Amino acid sequence: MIKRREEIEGLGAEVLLVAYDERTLLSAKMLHNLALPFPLLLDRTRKTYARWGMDRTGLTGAMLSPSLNWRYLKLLAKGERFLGFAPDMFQLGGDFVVDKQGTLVFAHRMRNNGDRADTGTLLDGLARAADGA
Amino acid sequence: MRRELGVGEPAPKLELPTETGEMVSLESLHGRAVLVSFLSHAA
Repeated sequence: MIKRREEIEGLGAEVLLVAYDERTLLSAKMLHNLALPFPLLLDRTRKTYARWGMDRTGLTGAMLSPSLNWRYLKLLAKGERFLGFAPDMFQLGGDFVVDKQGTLVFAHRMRNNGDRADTGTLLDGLARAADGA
Repeated sequence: MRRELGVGEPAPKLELPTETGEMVSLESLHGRAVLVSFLSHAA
């Protein structure tokens, strides 16, 4: 998504990232100390996660999902290192597109830790929402 | 059982602080299309 920043800006759209882990942990493990071009909002209590319907998974969904393990394998093949487990491996995320009127026009809630919506789908939804279509 | 909000419904309230403590709300972005991405665990 960071690589598509200019495209998003061209649409006149905004991106809000929401996280529940501590910023230092996110920087070290997920963001690799990248400067984020989008606001990162912190929901340490996870009340907003719950309000938006984000679920929790179990051991199978957190660690044994084939799509997640395939993603990790690809990262390891690129030279990434496994940096250990996070404090809470079971909270799931999701992606939503909200149109100019504040209506949800796309919703994807993860069913396991490998179940992320792909960037192309999100940008298509964002483009439609920005057009008002 | 929790009802899952879906497409076509008003987005739920979202107002949270950034790491510097600045409050950001979805409502403040009314009139613009917004992608809201909830991250899963940092690992």
